[in-house]
Amino acid sequence: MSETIFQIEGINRTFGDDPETLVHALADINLSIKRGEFSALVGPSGSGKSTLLNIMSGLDVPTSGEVILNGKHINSMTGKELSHFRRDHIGFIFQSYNLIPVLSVKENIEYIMVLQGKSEQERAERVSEVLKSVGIEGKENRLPSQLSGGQQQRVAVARAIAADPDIILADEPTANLDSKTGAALIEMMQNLNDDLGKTFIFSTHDQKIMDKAKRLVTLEDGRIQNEEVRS
Amino acid sequence: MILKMAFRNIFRHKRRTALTALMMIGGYVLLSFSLAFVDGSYGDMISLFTSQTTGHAQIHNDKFINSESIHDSIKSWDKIKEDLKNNSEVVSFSPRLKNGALAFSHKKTFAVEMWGIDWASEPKVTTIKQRLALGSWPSTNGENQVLIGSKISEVLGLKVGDEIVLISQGADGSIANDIFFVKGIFEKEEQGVDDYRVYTDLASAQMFYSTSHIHEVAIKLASIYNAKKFSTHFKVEEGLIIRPWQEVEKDFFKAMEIDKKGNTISYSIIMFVVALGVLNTVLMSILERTKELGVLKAIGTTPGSLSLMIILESQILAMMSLIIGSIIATLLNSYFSKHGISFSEPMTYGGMTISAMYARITLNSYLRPAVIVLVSTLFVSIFPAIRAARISPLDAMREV
Repeated sequence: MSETIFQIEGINRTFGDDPETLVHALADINLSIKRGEFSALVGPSGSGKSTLLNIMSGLDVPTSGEVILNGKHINSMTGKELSHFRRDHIGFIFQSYNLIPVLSVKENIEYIMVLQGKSEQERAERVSEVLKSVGIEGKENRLPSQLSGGQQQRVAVARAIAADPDIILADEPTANLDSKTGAALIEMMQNLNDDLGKTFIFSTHDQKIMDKAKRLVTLEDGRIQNEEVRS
Repeated sequence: MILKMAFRNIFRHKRRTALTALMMIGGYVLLSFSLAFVDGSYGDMISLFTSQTTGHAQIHNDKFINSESIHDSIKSWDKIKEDLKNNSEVVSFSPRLKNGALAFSHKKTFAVEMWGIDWASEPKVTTIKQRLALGSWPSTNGENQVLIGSKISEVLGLKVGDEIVLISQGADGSIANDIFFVKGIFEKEEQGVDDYRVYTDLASAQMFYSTSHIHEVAIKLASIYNAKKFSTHFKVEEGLIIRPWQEVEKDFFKAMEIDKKGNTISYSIIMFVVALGVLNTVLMSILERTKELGVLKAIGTTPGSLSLMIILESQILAMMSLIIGSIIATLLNSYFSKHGISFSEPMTYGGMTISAMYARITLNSYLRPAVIVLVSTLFVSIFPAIRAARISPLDAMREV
């Protein structure tokens, strides 16, 4: 692990306007993420894991504090700048896969690269590379509806890594999968981290992910309760 | 990719897409059919109207238009005749001498319009011969023979074969008077064009008015729709003016244009209903895809691209509907341009009797509805497109 790519400084996130019913989803969060991390945000439901991931990705705006990626302050970006920021720097893996149903596996994977304006040849090479990495070769022309849940989540991982983002944010990626498929997916992501140096941040309840994570950040009531770095 | 997604999104809900397309096709066909009938029926009316006396274009001394004086005449008739003969657009033409006169018979007098016409060429330009109710068409060498309107016959008590005395002032200031013989009487109709007219042959009229000139040349063209173009390009010498029927019969043309504009209200109602249907469909599809749109935005699609996708979806559907619609409209318009719709009782419009309405296939009857459908579809998809662009990815992805 080397340079810090993500810096979260004094993040607070509250919901509601009425001081009596105000919800403090996150309180004074400070966190730095280094390139090549395989970290998990853990904690009970409502602890603020997903809120933190949303703020890191620029999908949500903190009430106060700064989110800095590669030196860029993302809180002050406009809608279009945020779109480009997510396109170029963040890979998403969602709990319910969220593939685009009208696009084939190949098209879903290359979608972000199309937005980035990469050439057809560059896209084709990258698609075949990532299809191999996630183990779904031969299924590139299928629609998401023609795949199992596990296969769809593999496509989602492929989509997330295809454009070579700085960080991949995965929100409960195994929650909708059976334990066997979930375990296989975790192993696959770990291989991507080990072999290709991809940075993964998970929000999870899954013990298997917690077991594999090299760093565990425990959140409770919107605060970081504990940080455990494993060798 | 955005275009590809837009195209595929259209077919996600085939039944709904089919229903929306049906509305667009229906709206387009209805508009095209209405316009074809409007163009057809107005075309028939114009043909009828211009064939009564006006022709498709007319040449005058430019002063005659306001003065209607016997002195403001066309002096170069021979040259004009040659030019018209050599013009391929011209089917036929007829010279006219026009002036007022007082008709006298059975101790009664009546103010009339006296027209000196060429017995041979006038029926080739107008329907004058068909309007004759009593008597017969004069022979080409028959001098001092007249055809009179039913009103003149009624007031002066004239029958075919009777004598009629016409009195006026000649171009040289002399008293013009002569005896003419009634060769025929025109049919009686409400506000008939011939009611107050006395037609005689051009030579007799010129002799009567002591002039060798004419006042008007009525021209019939191969196509009435070329009247404006012909009038712009046909050269007449200085002091003369050539005008298309739209200018000669300015009031009729304006009334027709106003009537046409009135149809805009019915077209707007048709398009309003279609637009509401399209708006409903586009909004429904946005609502259903809120989560998907949120994901697209989350992974880096710009708000502008999302808007573009929504607009493209409705425009592609509109264009596909237009292709099908134009095929149906062509079949329908072709059938009714040949067979028309007959009225159980003939209709009278501006003194003309119309017994059937025919559609007419014009570029206007295809292009205008196409533009209306595309623009109204674009208009109603703007609001959903803005809505899609403003979607919050986080809120959208929370949707189930």
